[in-house]
Amino acid sequence: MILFFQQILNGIMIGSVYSLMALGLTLIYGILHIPNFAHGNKYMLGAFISLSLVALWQINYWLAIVISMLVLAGIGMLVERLIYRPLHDQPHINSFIAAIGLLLLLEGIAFAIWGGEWQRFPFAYKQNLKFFGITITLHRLLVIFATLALIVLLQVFIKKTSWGWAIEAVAQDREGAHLVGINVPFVSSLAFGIGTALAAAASSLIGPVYLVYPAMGSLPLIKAFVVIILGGMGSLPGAVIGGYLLGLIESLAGGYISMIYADLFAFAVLVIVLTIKPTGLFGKRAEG
Amino acid sequence: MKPRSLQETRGKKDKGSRHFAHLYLLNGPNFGNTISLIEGGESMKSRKTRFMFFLSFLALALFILTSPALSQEKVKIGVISPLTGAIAHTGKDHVIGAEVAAERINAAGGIRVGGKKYLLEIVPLDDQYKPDLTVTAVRRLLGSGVKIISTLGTGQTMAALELADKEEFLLLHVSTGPDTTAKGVKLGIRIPSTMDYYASSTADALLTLRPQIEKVAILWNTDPGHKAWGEIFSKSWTGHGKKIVVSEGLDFRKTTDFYPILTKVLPLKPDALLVITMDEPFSLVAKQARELGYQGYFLSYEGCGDKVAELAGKEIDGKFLGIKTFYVLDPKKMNALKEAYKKKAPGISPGTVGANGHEMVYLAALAMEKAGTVTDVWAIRQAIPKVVPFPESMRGILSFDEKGDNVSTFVLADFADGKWVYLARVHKKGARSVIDYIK
Repeated sequence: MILFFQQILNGIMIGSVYSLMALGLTLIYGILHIPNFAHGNKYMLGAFISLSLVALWQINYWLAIVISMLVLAGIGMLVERLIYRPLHDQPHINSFIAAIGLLLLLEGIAFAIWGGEWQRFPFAYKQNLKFFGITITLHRLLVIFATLALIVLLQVFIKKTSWGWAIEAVAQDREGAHLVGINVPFVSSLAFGIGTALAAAASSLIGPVYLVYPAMGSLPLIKAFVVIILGGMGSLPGAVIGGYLLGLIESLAGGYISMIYADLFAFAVLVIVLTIKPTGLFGKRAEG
Repeated sequence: MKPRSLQETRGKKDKGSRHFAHLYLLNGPNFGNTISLIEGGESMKSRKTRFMFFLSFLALALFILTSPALSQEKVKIGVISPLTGAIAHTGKDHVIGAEVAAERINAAGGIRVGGKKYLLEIVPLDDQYKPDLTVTAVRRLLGSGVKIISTLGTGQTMAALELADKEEFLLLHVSTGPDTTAKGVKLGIRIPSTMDYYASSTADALLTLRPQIEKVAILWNTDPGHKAWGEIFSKSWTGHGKKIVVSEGLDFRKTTDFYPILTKVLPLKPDALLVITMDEPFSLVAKQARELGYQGYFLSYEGCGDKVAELAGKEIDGKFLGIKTFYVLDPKKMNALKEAYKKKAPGISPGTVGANGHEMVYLAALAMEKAGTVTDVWAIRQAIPKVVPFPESMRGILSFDEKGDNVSTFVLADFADGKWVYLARVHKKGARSVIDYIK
C-alpha cells in the first residue's frame, strides 16, 4: 500500500510539469491554431534564466521564477509578433516550419550562452518529509502546490478578468471577437506570452529536482502534446486533467510493471481515449 | 499596401540580376561588351574587379605556397561522433582526445613514412549518435579521400563495419559491445576493452574491495550494450555466491524522474546499486536515491566518467566504485592531458572516450610509420599489433588479438572527500583477470 501511495505522489509530481506545459501549449493552440514545437525550448530557456539568476546574482529562488516567467512572457509575445503573426494568413505549413526553425534557433542560442554541459541547479529545498512511510522532498511537494496555485490563478484570470474573457472570446470565434471590438492581435500576443510564461514556471520549478541542459525541453514537449491530444486540443481543463492522468499512468506502470513499458501504457490510454472519443476527453467537436 | 509595393520593386530588381547572370553564363568571362549593352560605364568597373580578383587570387596562392603548415602533406583521420544533442560532450571528448594526440605528434615533427614527413589532421563529423548518420558521415569521409576513421558507440560502429572491408578503410572504433569484433571485419579494430572484461573484473574486484556488499540491484539503460553489461556482471556476481535482487531496464535518455523505479527497488534493501548509464542520469539516480533514504553503495560502468563527481559528489562520497582509464595512475600524463584539454575546450574534461580518441590517433600514426605507408590500409592494419605497448599510451593497451580486441590495464576508483581514490589496477593474463590492489 505504501508503494501505491508513493507512486501516486510521484505521479502527481510528474503530472504537475506535464499539466503546466500542456496548459501553455493548449492556450496557444486555442488562440493561434499552431502546434508550437518551440514550446520545449522556451521551457529550457526558462530554466536556464532562473538558474543564472540564482547562481550568478544570488537572487531569491521564487523571485527568480517570477523574473524568468516575465522574461519568457516577453520573448513569447515578441515571437508571436515577429514570427507567427505575419504567417497567420499563410498556409499552415509555414507556421510549422517557422516553429521548427525557432526550435533550432533557441537551442543554438542556449548552447552558445550556457554551453552543452548538464548543470545542477544551485538551490533546492532539500528537507525530507516522511509521513505514513511515504518519502518526499520538500521541493517536490512545493512543485505540486505551486503548480496548483498557478492553475487556480490562470483559471481566475480567464474567468474573472476582462482580458481573460477576451482570450476566451478569441478562442471561440476570432472574427466575432474582432467584430465586438476586441483587440485580437493583442489578445493573441497576450495568450502567447502567458503560455510561454507557464513553460518557464514549469522548468524553473522542476529545475532543482532534475538537471538543466539545452535538450531538456524535448521530452516534456512530446509529453505535453500527448496530454493536449488526450485532454482535447484547446481545452484548459483537458490539459490539467490530462497532465495529471499521464503522470499517474507513467508512475504506476513504472512502479508495478516495468519502466520500459511506462510510455507504452501512456500511449495505450491515448489510443483508447481517442477510439472512444476522437476529440479527446474535453475536446469540442471539430467544426464542419 | 506600402510593404507590398516595396516587395514588387525588389522582385523586379531580382529579375534584372538574374538576367545578368544568364548573360554571364552565355558569354563566359569575356563579358565586357555584353554588359555595356545593358548599362553604360559598367565595363570599366568590371575590368577593375577582374584585376582585383586576379590579385587576390595571386595573394592566396602565395600564402598557401609559403605557409609552412600547408606545404607538408597531410594524413587525415576522420572522427565520427555525436557533436550535437544530449551526449554531445562525450562526442566532443572523443574528438578533442584525437586532436590533442594529433597536435602532439605534429609538434614533434609529424610522422615519417618512406623518408617523407606527414602531418596529421583530424576531421570531425557529427552523427548525432544515430547509426544511419554514421554511415552518411563515413561516405562523406571516403569521398574526400580519408582512409582512417574512428566511430563512437556499438550500434554506430556496427553500421560502419558493414562498409569497412568493402570500401577499404581502417575503422578504429570506440565501442564496447562484443558484437563489433565478433563480426569478423578484418579492418575493424577495437580501441577500448570489451565490456565482459570490465563487467566480470568489476564483480571479481568487488569481493575484496567491498566485502560487505551482498545484494546488488541493477538498473540498466535500454540499449543492447548496457543490458549485456548487466547480464555479464550478474553472472559473475551470482557465480561468487552473491545475490542480484532486481535487474530493471529503463530508458535513461527519456527519464528524468527516478522516484517511481527507486521506490520499487529500494525496499528490496540492496547493499549496492549498479547503474549502467552515463554520468548525468547516473547523478540524478544517486541524488534521488539519497533523497529516498538509500545509504548503500553506487557501482558504475566504464561509460561513466568524472562528471559524476561534479554533479553528485556529495551523494556518492565514499560509497562509489567506478572504472577509470589507465592514465590516471600517471599524474604527469594526466595533468598534461588536462592542461591540453583546458586550452582547447574549456568546460570539457578528458574522460574514457577522450583517452580512446588519443590512443586511436597514436596507434594509427605509429602503425603507418611501421608499415611504411599512409594509403595501404591492410598493411597499416597488420602493423597495429606490433606497435603496442607504447610510452604515450593513455589506455595502457598491452596487446591485440586477431579479432581486433585488446588486452589493457584499467583502474577501479572510489570518490571520497572530494577526490578520486584509486583502489585497484586490473589487467589480464590469459583468460583470467589479474587484480592488483593499490594500498
